Amino acid sequence: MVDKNNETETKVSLEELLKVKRGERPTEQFWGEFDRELHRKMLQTLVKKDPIFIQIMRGLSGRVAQTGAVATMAAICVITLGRSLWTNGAEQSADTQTFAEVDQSSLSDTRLSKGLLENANDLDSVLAMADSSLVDYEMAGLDGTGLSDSAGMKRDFTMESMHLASFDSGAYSSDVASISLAFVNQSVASLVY
Amino acid sequence: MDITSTASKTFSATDEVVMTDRDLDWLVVQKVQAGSVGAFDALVQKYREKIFAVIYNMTSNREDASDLTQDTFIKAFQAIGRFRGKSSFFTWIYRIAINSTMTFLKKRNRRRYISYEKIDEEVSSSEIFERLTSKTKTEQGALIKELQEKLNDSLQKLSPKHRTVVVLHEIEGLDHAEIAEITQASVGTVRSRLHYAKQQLQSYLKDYIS
Repeated sequence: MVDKNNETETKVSLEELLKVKRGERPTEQFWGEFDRELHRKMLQTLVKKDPIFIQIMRGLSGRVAQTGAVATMAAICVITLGRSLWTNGAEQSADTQTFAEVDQSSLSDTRLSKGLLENANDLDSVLAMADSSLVDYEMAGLDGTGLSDSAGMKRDFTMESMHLASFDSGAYSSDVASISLAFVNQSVASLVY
Repeated sequence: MDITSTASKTFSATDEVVMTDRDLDWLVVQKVQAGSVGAFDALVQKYREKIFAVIYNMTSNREDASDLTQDTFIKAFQAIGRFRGKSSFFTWIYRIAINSTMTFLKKRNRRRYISYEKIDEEVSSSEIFERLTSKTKTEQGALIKELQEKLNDSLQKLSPKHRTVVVLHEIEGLDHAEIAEITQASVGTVRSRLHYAKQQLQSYLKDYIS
């Protein structure tokens, strides 16, 4: 019983042991030095200039930001312009491809209807119209020279003109007629003035 | 100290408004933000011992603790303009102290230089030492020295995160929620770390614990 009481009295918990750490305190002298040192450091902080490289970076940062903004705007302009040009080019090449496909598919029809093109003068006017309306008209890979030769046509006739002539000759003829009329009217008008 | 006590008296006497410690600190912080550098001294005087104790118990080195405590106040002084009072000043400055100490401990790595503060006489003559003396049959002076070394050594064996929780809870007496806010961890994480850390310490200090 005595031993048991003695054991209870000598029991020490971890929490109690750790509270001993609270007793590890600096002296007043330490705090005096601490305060002096801290005030000195605070004053240094107040009057201290930034290192030279930070000052340079800070000076440059404004110019860098301006240059960056201008460069970004220029890049946006170039991208927008380039994109629109690319889109137009793509549309045009798509048109060309469509025409080429149409020509290729109508090649056999052209062969059959070549006998209908008897007048070389009509073909010249049709070709002229076709050239003026389709600037980038490209016929690479569809060389109709042999075909035109065999049909007794001029060598500079291309497949496109043959195609247009065979299917839309009437329309082109009427266009030519209306254009001529317009020229006539203009000349009349100029005479009136 | 003067500023906080003056503010406390003014408000409690005239407006009958009970101001918390947090409110008083916020008043002083606003003064510093308005340009009163001297007002910052009040905050230094109020928190320097607590901050020093936390850092000292984390590093077990009085010189490092002194430097880190000063760094903590310098950092707080430099950043006080950005302090918006969302948390208490107490939490904010403890967080600065803990983060600075963690960074320091990572740099220090495994190199440990121990330099202890002397244990206060009030504590060394306390009842716990009487019990330990009678238990271990050791002379009190030798026991104090031995225990201090063993305690610091055991704390240093813990990981910095576990040490932080033990120091803040068991030595500084902060509650779980406060520690969670300072360490930016959940209360559950704090409890779990504390439980694990205490298990570790119990095994290190088994010679002294009944």
